[in-house]
Amino acid sequence: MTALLVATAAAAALCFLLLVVVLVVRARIARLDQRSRGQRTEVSTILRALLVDEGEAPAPRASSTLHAVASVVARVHGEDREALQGWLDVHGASAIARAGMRDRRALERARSIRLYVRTTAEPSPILMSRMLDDPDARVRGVAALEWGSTGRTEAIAPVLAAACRQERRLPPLVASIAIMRCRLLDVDSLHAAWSTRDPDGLRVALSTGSAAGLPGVQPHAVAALEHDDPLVRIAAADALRRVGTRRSLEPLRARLQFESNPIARRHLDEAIAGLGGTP
Amino acid sequence: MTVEPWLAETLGASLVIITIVFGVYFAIYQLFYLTIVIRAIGAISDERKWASDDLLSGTFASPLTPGVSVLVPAHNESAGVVASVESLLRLQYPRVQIIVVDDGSTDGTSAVLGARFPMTLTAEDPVSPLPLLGAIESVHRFDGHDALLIRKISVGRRADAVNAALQFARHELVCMIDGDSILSPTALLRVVQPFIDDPTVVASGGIVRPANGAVLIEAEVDRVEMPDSIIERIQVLEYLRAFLVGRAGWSAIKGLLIISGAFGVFRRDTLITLGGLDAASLAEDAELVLAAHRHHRTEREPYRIVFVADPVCWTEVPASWSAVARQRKRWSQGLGELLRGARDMIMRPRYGTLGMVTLPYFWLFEQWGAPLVFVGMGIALLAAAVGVIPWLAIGLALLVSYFVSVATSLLAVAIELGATRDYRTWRSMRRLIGTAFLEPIVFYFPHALWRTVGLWRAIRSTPSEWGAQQRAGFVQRAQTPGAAA
Repeated sequence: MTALLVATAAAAALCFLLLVVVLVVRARIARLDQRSRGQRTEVSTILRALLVDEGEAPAPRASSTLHAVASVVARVHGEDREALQGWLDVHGASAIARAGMRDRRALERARSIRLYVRTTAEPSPILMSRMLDDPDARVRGVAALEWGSTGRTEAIAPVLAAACRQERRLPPLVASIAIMRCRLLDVDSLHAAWSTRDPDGLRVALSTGSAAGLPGVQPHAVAALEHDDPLVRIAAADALRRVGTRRSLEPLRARLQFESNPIARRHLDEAIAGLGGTP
Repeated sequence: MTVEPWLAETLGASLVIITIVFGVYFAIYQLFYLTIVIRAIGAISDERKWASDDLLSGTFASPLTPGVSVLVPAHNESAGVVASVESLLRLQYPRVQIIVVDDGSTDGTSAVLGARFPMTLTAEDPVSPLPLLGAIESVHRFDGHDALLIRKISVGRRADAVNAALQFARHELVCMIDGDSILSPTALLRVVQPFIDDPTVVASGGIVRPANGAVLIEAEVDRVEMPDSIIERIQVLEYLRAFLVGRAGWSAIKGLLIISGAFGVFRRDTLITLGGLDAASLAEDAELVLAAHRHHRTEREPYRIVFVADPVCWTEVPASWSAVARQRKRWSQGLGELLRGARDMIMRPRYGTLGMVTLPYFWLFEQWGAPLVFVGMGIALLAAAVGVIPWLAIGLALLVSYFVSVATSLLAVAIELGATRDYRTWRSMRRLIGTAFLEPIVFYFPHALWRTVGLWRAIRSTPSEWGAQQRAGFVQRAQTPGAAA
């Protein structure tokens, strides 16, 4: 009976405690909302000073302000971008970001990558390649997408290589999105995929190369039609549909005769029809 | 009549032992639930921290983002189907194909759609033909939109309507929602993100919330308040516990069994390989997830089935006790049938967390929990009646159970407040807290009874159909000039 009395008291106390927790959470959220309103005002003042008045902007009150201003950098170009990057650099954003990229918490490393890439005009390829090799998959993804967002061609090869390797790989779609953000001008930038013939790497190279409209993808796509992995064959058929010429029709028809995978067959059919041929 | 002393002693001892066994059973259940809640808090907090609009905008802008075919089975959904389709047409997603199936509606669902969206009769062939129980009558293409309306003969099974839509899906991913559901604009983008981050993800589910009490502007949920009736409020609380806490927790321990049929995304090829949904099942959404687990485990392929505690799908829940009763009996029957079909997976290490934790938990607590409540109560009352256990002890045990039940609801409310903005007004919060204290008193026993009836039907293999639900439709408000500014 004593045990039951204790259990009842404990359960009632737990209930009361959780009720207090609910009220505390509600109050804390109201305070956080108020603080974020204050931060929005601070960031607005800084942005107005830098972008509209083109004068002196006040120093940030907290490092979170640096992150907030950095998030705007990705949305502006030219002199505006330089003004924001200059302000961030003056207030030590680059140094904070470099230190944060060595933090033991994955989330902090990811935030620091964003801050670093947006603060720096030319991100260091060595530093970015190191982040592409981060033990945490999400950090690798952020590194690839942020580096890609700079539009720098030099990011393509390391990002693609990260999608082709065995350990600490980048997911193919993340690599594709990152590469598509870069200026993909020639098919040789995708060398890592053509040389390793890694299935994921080939899919990335075929899809990004063809989406960028590079005609040089055609011979690689024709070769990939014979790959063992059906997903690569599907990507090859899609690539030929986008950038192929009538010369691609013959290899597509030849592959269609032997293709056993029904989904790959449908993609081959679509590619042939897209190029104006008939199966 | 006198009872032999040894018999009375044996009977008394047995009743005490049985009562203790039941006590231990409920304690283990609560401990289990607490573990799930703790994992859910970690998972939700982690997801909130990692959420990035930049990532989503990259996904939105990429020409390589996989397209999604949204399947909308609708049976007598004339009240809400237009709002549902309008919300789909406003989705922030690069490539969406909408396929609405009018599954033998008698309330003019097709006519309502036809009046709002001009469409043309077409003779399109299915992309991936599947066996159907009810024949397709006609296929119509929406003018100016990548959308189809399929009219078919109903066999009383939602799964058959989904299969009819699945045949016409041409995108890599397939999203299933209900004919009365409203997706928030970025919901699809967020629920698809796991497929982009990890190629081994085969299915992903999002949060489903009751739309009762929500106000829509231009097919978008503008404001949410706790509904007025107690039965609707109880369901809001239940959905918070089940989706925000339960599924996030199960997903965190890699043992997710259910992705709601009201909002789930799957790889189309996985669905086609599995032959579509099981039209004979009453729990076809869980059946599908179970089949995916089984398939990938058997083939020894790496795979993940995940839950994203952020994208929201709003759906109308039953507003009357009788409709809730029908729904819960059906759900319980579906669970019973599902677990009977999964007997070979229970306690089998080859099925990982699902086989060793999730399925035993569902079998022991979710399936048998309801009838055991009545058995436990009966034995405890008998023990008290014969004087083996004092009445006070029974009362205290009930009080413990009540407070623990309230505590789990309050925990879900606390997580909800921290995670989303939906019920943050004082009015909604007061109502949520009030409902947490009221629910165990007014809902617990009727719910246990409905679940027991459902389980009994599953054991007896009683034929059952999808029940009809009275739809009130959504509260729509036109956007005022002031609001627009």
